Formats: sequence, C-alpha cells, structure tokens
Amino acid sequence: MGKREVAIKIGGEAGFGIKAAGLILGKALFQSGAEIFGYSEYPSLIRGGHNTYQMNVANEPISSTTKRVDILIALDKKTIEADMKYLTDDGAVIFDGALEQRDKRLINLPLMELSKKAGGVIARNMVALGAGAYLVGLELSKLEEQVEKNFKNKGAEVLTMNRQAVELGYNFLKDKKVKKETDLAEWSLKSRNKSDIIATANEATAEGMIWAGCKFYAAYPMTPATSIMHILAERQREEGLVVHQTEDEISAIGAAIGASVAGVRAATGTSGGGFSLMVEHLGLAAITETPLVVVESQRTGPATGLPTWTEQSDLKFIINASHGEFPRMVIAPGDAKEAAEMIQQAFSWAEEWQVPVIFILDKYLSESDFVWLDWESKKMAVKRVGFISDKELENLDNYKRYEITGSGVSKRAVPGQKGRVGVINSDDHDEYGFSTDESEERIKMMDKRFSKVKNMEAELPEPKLYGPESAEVTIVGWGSVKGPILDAMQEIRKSRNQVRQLPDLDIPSSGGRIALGAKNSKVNFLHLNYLWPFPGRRVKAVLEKAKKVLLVENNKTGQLGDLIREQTGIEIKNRFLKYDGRPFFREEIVEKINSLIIQ
Amino acid sequence: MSGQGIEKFNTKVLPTWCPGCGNFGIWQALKQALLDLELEPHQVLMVYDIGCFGNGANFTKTYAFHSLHGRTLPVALGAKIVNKDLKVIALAGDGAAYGEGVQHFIHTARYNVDITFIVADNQRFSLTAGQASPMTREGVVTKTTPFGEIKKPLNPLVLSLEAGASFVGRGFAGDPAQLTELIKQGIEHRGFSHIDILQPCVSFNKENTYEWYKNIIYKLEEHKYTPDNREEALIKAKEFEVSGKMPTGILFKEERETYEDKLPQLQGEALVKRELKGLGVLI
Ligand SMILES: Cc1ncc(C[n+]2csc(CCOP(=O)(O)OP(=O)(O)O)c2C)c(N)n1
Ligand code: SF4
Ligand SMILES: [Mg+2]
Repeated sequence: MGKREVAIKIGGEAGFGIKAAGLILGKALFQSGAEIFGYSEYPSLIRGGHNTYQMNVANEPISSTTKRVDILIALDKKTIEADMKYLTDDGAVIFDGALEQRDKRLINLPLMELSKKAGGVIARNMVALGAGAYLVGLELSKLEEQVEKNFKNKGAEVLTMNRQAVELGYNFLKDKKVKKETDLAEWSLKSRNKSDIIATANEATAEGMIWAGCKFYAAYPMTPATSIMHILAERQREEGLVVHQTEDEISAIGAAIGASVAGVRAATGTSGGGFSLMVEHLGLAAITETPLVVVESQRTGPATGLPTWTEQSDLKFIINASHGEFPRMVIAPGDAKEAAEMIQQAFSWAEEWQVPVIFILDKYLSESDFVWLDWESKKMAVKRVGFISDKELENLDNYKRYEITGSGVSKRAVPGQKGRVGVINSDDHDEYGFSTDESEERIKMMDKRFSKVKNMEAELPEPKLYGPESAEVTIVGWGSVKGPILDAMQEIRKSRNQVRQLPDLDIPSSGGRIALGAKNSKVNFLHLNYLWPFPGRRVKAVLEKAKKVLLVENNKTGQLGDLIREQTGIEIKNRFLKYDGRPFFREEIVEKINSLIIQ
Repeated sequence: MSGQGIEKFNTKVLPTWCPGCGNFGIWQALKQALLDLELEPHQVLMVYDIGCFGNGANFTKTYAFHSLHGRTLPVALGAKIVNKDLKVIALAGDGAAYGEGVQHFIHTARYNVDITFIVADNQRFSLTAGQASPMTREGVVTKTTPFGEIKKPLNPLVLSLEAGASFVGRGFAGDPAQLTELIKQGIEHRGFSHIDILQPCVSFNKENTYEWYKNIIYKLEEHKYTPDNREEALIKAKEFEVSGKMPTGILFKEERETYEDKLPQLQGEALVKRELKGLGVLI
C-alpha cells in the first residue's frame, strides 16, 4: 500500500497540558504500530499564550513536521485563529462552540460539559484526545492503556477521571457517527517491538551519557537543554552519578573540568546564552588537556532571542569559541538515535584526545518526539583510556603530564595517585606542567596539542551521502535539518514513482531510510554530523561532482556555507535559510527542491 | 618520607614573589600545616587562582590545578565530589575570591562542600600591578583610583558567615605560627572552610603594612572566645568597622553534614575509585 499520513495538531493555552496529552495519543498510536513525529511550539511563559503540539502519524518512518494539518484539536479560540489556515480542505477541527464562519470541517465537541461530567475541566484535554483517537480510527482500548500508564501513579481518582474523559470524547463522536479522517485499522500496521520507543534527542542524549559512564553532570537550567538535567537528576542515585546544579554556567563548566581532572567522565550542558558564559573555560579544558563534553542545545538568539524556538545559529561561534587556538571536536546529531550514539562517541573521543568536545543540539531536536527503533542497539562498551597506572607512576621518577608524544596525547595521572605530582596548568607550560614563557617551550606545547588533529581527523566518520551517488540536486546540511530533508526527498521520490509506476523501494528503519544508490531519485543529501575537525576533503569531493547544490540551514547567514567556502573554496549559491524560530516544514523543502529541478 | 621537613612540599621552581611579600608567610604556614597533618603531596589537590598568590601553583609540590581568574572553587568542588578522599584546597587572591568569582565563594559556602578556601587578602590586584580590589578601603589611591577609592569594601567574613560556611577564620601572614594552626584546623574541618588572610603586599599596598596590621589585630584564642555561635561571629567579623580592631583566629566553626554526605550515591568508596581501579589507578 502507499504512504498514509495524518497530521494532528492540538492547541491551547500553556497549562492546558497540550504536550502531555499529545504525547499520550502519540504513544497509543505508536504502540498500535504507527510511526510518529511530535513537534511542539510554545512561548516562554507558564500560563496563557498559545501552545501547540503537532503529531504526524504515518505508516512509514517520518521525522519531520508539516505545515499541513488534517485534524485540529482546538482547546481554545486562539487555536482557531492561529491554526485554521493550515487545516486541509477535507480536514476536521474539534472545537467547543460555534465558529464565526460556517465551516463544514467543524466538529462541535462540548469539552467543558463532558470534562465536568468526567470529574473536572482539567480533563478537557483528555476529552479532546478521545475524540482525536476516534477520528484516526485508533481503538479506544489502546488509548486507555496509555492513559493508565500515564496516570497510574497519580491516584485512583485522577486515573478514573482521565479514563472517563477519553471515553466520553471518543463515544461522543462515535455515537454521532462522525466521519473518520482515516482508519488506522486499514493501514495494515505491524505490531511493535518492545525495543522501539519514542524519545526526544534530549532523552536520547541523557541515556547515552549514562551508557557512556558519565559520572558528573553540572549545569544551570536553560531551555532547551534543561530536560537532560531533569532526566539525569532523576536517575542519579540508581546510576551512581552526581548531578550538580550550579550558581551559573561558569561554575558548571568549571565543576565538570574539576571532576574530569579527578578522573571521572564529566559533562555540562546549556543553550547558547549559557555557552557564551562558558567559553573561557573551554580554553581551560583545552590547555590543561582535560577531557570534557559540553552539550549546547541552540535556540533563537542573540541574547534572549526567541527563548523557546529553534535555530542553528551557533555553529561558527562553537567552532571558534574561546580566545587562543586549540583543537576541539564538534558533533551535531540529526535525530534521537544519532544523539544517543554520538554522545557516547563524544565521551570516548574527549577522553582519547584529551580535548573539549561540543555536542550540538537545538530546540527542534531537544524537544521533538522521534521514533527510536531498537533503542539499545547503539549502546557502546565503555573503555576508559589515557591513564597512567599506580605502578607505572610510582616507578617513574620522571613522570611528565604533558610529555611530547607522537600522537600528541600524554598519560594522565589523577590527583591522589602516589608518585611525581605535577601541575595541571592554565598557563602554558613545559612537559611537567610548570609555567613557562620560553619561546621554544611555547611552540613545543602548541605543536603538541595541534598534533592531535590529524589523528582526530582520521578517526572521525565521513559525512553521509543519502540518496544516489549523483543527482540533479545535492542538498547540504548539518544536524537537525536531517529529518525534514530526508522526508522531503522521500516525498519527491514517491510522487515520481507514482508517475512512472515504479514499485516502492524497500525501506529500511528510520535514520538511514533512503538506501544509498537508489536509482530513481533526482536528489541526494550530504549530511554533516562531525563538523570539527572539518571534513573538508569529503565535502569537496561530493560538491565538486554535484550539479546543483542547495544549502539548507536554520539560520540567517548560512554558517555551514561559510565554513565550506573557507575550507574547500566552494561557494554555494542556492541557499535555503530560515531564521524565524521555526524548523523547516517538509513542504517547504519539497517546494524548494522542485523549484530547482524545474529550473 | 616522614622525617623530612616542609621542603618536601617545594618544587624545583623558586617563588617569584617580591622579597618581603606576605605570600611567603602564608606559604610557610601552608606547608607546615600539611606536614603537621602528615599529608603527603599526592594526597592533596590545590586549585590555584590567577594572581600573585596563585603563582604558588609552580612552587608548591602537591597535585596542582592552576585555574582561571576567579574560578578555583567550581573546579575544586567537582574534584572533591568525585574523589572525597582528596584533601582539596582552593587558593585565591582577594580580587579573585571577592570580585571576579564572588558568586562561587558565596554559593560554595552555602553548599558546604568539604573544601578549604584560602584567600590571600592584600586589598589589591597585585599581579596586574596594583589596581583597587573589592577589599580596597575608601579613599585609597591606586592606579585605577587616582582620586581615591569611592566604593565601600566588602566584608568577606560576613559574606561567608551569612552564606552558611561551617568554618570561618582570619589569619595574618605575619604570624605563621597562628596561621599554621588555623590552616590545619581548616583542612581538618569537614565542610567549607573559609580562611581570609591579611597579606601585606610590599609593592602595591603602602597603607596596609605589617606594622599597620600589627597595631589593629588581636587573637581571639587569647580572649576566651568560643567560636560556636554564628551571631557572635558576625559581631566579631564587623568589629573593625565598629572599633578599628580586627580579631584573628577562628571566628566560627560548626559540625554540619557536608554536601557530599547528603548524596547517597557518594557513600562508600570514592566515585572515581570505583571507576578507575580496574585500570590499576587509585588502588
Ligand atoms: C578573566 C580575567 N580577567 C582579568 C585577568 C587579569 N588578572 C590577572 S590576576 C588579576 C587580579 C589579581 O588580584 P588578586 O586576585 O587579588 O590576586 P593577587 O595578585 O593580589 O594575589 C587580574 C585582574 C585575568 N587573568 N582573567
Ligand atoms: S606584588 Fe605584592 S602580592 Fe605580588 S608578589 Fe609582590 S609583594 Fe607579593
Ligand atoms: Mg589581591
């Protein structure tokens, strides 16, 4: 069968439980075998405002949101005003009350009345959810299972109220024999594996940190990075790690450096504003050669910008942050699964090369709900490296913390180990760590640190090319644009297939879903996850062969484009840039690609 | 190793402080305290600030981390939490402790992490050649206050007392014997110990000389003072502003659970040891 997809958007004031309710429905749909992608929008306030949660539900893997909405669940009038324009012609809107204009798409649902009947107006989101479930043909029992899971710890009364609320909403439409938007029962969905879950990139990052043996996480709350801290804080006792909430971000990175110097894997996390405060310490980690992982989940800047919206505008800042010159690594996953995998790499490379590693996310990744198949499959074994053993140290009266070696990496002694103690020094230093400003010593140490780079480069995986080796349009992007671009390519390919009556391609699991070498596609996509050291050779090789290149970035100035020009000499003229705080919607990319193909 | 004197805490690098600098007295007292406490260089992590006092990173043989200006305490805290067996001492000048990094000072006192914070208080930014610091008194002329300082100085002892430090003391660089005792007690104390040390800077502070201090200080231990009451300690901390006299010694001390004590996941073996002993590290 062909692709089926329905987009459900729930809107209402902050405090209505928009995202919580949406996710319950999302999980129920997911457990029924559907693929989902959840995306939320909200202003920076606790009550009022306009919050939405959109869930795209499909029978094939998806990881992007659409502008188009098929079912709009409006918990308030503002949602009608703001979001009716996205509703498809044959879509449906659930609303409590009449609309100013007569609209055949309206389904009047007495939310207030039914929620009061269930036990309180607080449950109106759940009434609406029941109605939404009916409209997509989800079995009521599947939704009830999730309601049960979600509320079982909140007491019998709360659980009963919420269960009744979904039932009332569901049955209200059923009794009225309202026409369904789609019927999940006809989607021929496969049953779910237990190992498939839904997660945000923050959840995946936190999980990956635990897998990587991170034992100390210091941070100061800042959206959209904060939930990493929430998750780790919740699990710190069972996992034997310490989560330390600091007085500011300066302290957070300092404490993480201290913990790392003392010998454990340590990290900090923040958004751009907090990262701005951290940059002096980034250089401290670098010159003291202390392994460090910093998560930077970007939001719209500068300053407070749009604090709850997304952007990819910190790339050049992150690559250049802190005064002086030093090697670092910069990694940007494109979805939840990549986040879990790559954060583990971040820890192991930070330790292997004794450098700071900055791990870039953004609001879109941090707070969107991705399907994460076979979630434990990316778990890596933890291998601690780079230490000198007690025995070696005691027998060595000439231990040098900053010994010049071929690889640029020297063994670390940790405080407490008996033997020749040394200085771990923010002043530039000799091999023992003592401060020196001799010209030769300075050159020696700079060259030592930079000698790591060629080995780092050799170890970093190359950027992935999705789609055929050669194509009419080659898209280039990094990090979070992955989902919208891959979904757009898929959509274009599907529509072409339909015209040519080609069979559907075999579709592997989410992530690498467009098989390399797919012949009938006119588009391919070079996706950069490992941004520094910059993979210039590979980027150049791909782009030199490309016919038309399209740069897609969630920022104003095309920062990756600048980097590519700087590192390869190639200038990309077609740039699709977006800086309104919103991610790329799938349609926008489809349209952009089509305009280039037709040109 | 025992039987060796304090020189076992010397590195091959000689101090670069000006002759007569108060830092020498502090340095002596610090090494003597480590010796008296029978600590070996490897059992101690000193986290140094940037400044004249911070330059001690090169002269003193223990594990040393030379940090950024104002940023000793976060690093010290991180290290202490993951290795509670280490003696962790943070060392900073007054500019660093009470200016650039004052938030860390107040909050680390509040957390009551088991760290000893030693501040060489010379009322100047000395390494940068003599500007006013948060401790410079009103009217004093420095390079940045050519018409006299117009801001009020901070009272750091009041700050740490109010913030919840569990050990607060003041020493004088010109009295290494008392200072040794004070540092020993500070290191032995479980919890955040703040020791402010009156430190003459012979190059950039012509007002607050050894003589000047000698005329205004007196020792609490010679006045039947028991340092077990925070309110009394606050009165002592403000005495100079009131009567022109400055008490030295321990102002306040209390037994209180440390930050580390309150984390169940830190009970038992030090976190880092669980992590690294498999590699033959920290066995
Ligand atoms: C972020 C930063 N700002 C400024 C400096 C320059 N600086 C170095 S030491 C110092 C002041 C030192 O004063 P204090 O902490 O009292 O130490 P002292 O030299 O008096 O012992 C300053 C301002 C710096 N190193 N880093
Ligand atoms: S300038 Fe002052 S504080 Fe610095 S070494 Fe000289 S006397 Fe000591
Ligand atoms: Mg000073």
